[in-house]
Amino acid sequence: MKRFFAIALGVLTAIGGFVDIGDIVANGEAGARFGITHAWVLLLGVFGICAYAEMSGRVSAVSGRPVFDLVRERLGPRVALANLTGSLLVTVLTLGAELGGVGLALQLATSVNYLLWVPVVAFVLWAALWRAKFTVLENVFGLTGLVLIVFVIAFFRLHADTGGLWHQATHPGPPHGEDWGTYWFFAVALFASALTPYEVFFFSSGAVEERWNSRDLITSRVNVFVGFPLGGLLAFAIMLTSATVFHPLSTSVDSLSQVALPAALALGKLGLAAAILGFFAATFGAAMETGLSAGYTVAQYFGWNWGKLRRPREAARFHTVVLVSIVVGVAVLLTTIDPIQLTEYTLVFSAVALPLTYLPILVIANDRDYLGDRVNGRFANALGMIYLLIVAIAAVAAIPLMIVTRMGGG
Amino acid sequence: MLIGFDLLDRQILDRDGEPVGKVDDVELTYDADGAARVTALLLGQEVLGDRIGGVLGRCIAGTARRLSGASDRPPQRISMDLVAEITGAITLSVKRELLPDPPLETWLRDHLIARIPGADHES
Amino acid sequence: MESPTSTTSRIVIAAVAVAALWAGLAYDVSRPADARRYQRTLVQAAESAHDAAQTAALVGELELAGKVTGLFATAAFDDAAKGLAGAEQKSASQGPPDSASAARRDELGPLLNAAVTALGDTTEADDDNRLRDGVGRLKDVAARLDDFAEGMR
Repeated sequence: MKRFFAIALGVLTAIGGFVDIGDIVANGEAGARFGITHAWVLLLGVFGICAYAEMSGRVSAVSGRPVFDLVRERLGPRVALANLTGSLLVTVLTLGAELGGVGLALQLATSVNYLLWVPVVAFVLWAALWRAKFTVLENVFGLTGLVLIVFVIAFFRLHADTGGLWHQATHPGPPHGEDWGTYWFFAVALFASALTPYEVFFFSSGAVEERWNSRDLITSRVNVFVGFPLGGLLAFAIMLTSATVFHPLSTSVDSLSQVALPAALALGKLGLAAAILGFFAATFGAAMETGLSAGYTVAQYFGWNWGKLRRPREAARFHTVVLVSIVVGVAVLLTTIDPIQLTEYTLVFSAVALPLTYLPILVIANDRDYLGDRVNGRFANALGMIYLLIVAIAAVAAIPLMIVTRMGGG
Repeated sequence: MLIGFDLLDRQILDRDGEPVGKVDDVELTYDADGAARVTALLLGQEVLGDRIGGVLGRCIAGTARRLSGASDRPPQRISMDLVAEITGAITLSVKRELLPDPPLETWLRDHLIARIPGADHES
Repeated sequence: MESPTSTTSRIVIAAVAVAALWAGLAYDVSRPADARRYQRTLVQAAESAHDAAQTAALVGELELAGKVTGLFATAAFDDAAKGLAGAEQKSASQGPPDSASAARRDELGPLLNAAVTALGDTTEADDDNRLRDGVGRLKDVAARLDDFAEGMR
């Protein structure tokens, strides 16, 4: 059983990365509008995040320091500051969106408007980050989030047209009613959602919180190679069920309630309850991940004490950053901006910030000062460089696509 | 030893491996024949902001000075004779408690964090 | 330390760029709609309304089959209502530039109204018969909205 919990960090990171509120709706919308013609994007994203998360985990385990901590040393304070500002902006906005997402999940269960839930959720989040043990948070939210497996079960109960779906998956391209512009916009958004910066920073800081060392390299790898594909599978299941139910009806998806419908259709109230519970756990987990990630990156840039493993008295600046991030997130939501629209915008911006995040990781993973002889091999470097190229293309294409397709509206 | 390469922006750890801060700047003393020696490590957002320069650097330095109260307070200084080892990080020969606390940390701890129940428990 | 003049000139350049961008945006937004853009707006409104109506019909059917809780159905109907409101707002956001466009707008108007009333009745339905009736009407208006959108593509 203990082994099972050992992968909780990877699972939680992956859930916060692959099925946060933005991804849930983006995958649902992509499935409804494009069928599963974007399946290859998810696959590409899973490989990419696995490659880079493995590097980050290795760096943390062998050097005892998280990746972001090393960016300033290796690349200088200015580059690291650019990196910090970019990822902090995306992370805090995402935190706001996740708080909204938790509110939306609670609204589905109780019909009480999400805005009324937001302050409550924010307080509970802060309290959890203040007092609850890191491992408890990992285990509870990581493993509860796995309840989203209900979408896989629902798919098999829906008697889908598997031939048609297979055809969609193997023939990427816009179906009737969509054009290549919107197709690529969604491709970039889904790819960016798989590789959001806070995932790697959270994973490598979490590795240090768990006190992994060189002997834990295998644990790190298992976390990566089990957790992230699992996250990708959950995202794909949402896309798949949405493609099965909504695509034949030519109906687009833009709300959380719609994404849950296939589960209700296939499995009734139990399926619906599981879906809502899964949404709650995944978005709350993502909120934790982004909240902590904001604190980690700021503290690691300036060299402050950080981490839940220290007494808050001794990491006052770190905890203040976490608190302020949550407050800013709530403030953004109280402008009544639609949380789902907020995530769609942050997805585009995070696509632009991707090269800033991943180039330093590749550089650091090749540095013998930190990794000794555990630096990247040829395969890891080749994969890293290929993905860096893909990420750069996505970053350059994101904003033009957003403007030309009017956020995918066409 | 190249200052830029081996010293600046490195993590400073105390004797027990606890983080103290990063080397935001160094203090150079010129001796009789004009040669420069590094006599101390300087820490703090003000010196970092000054070193980065540009608009962003001035923002950081300005905010740090305003938050720390006295705008002409000297930066946190760690003399080079407290440095035990320079490898990937810079290890000191003393414990963290013996060094002066960073002003921002102290201010936040006293006015905010310590007032919230549970501040003494790690998790 | 940078010289003050180079900083000033940088600020000036940045300000000019921002002003130019803003002016371009303002021009683009305030241009009188041409027929093509207007009709695309109508199509988008019809599609949004279709999506909301279709989804609401699905939720209604699930409610009849006992597969969803009442609380969830309320939340889902609320989302559909928001979608319909957005569609109505979209179709009313501009005036039709020519008589052909006006004719299409007059075609869409009643469809949107029918969708709103059908959704309202479905949400308020307190017995199965009324619910079934509401679902039927929602499906019907969704089909007509789909035909409208297809006809204009």
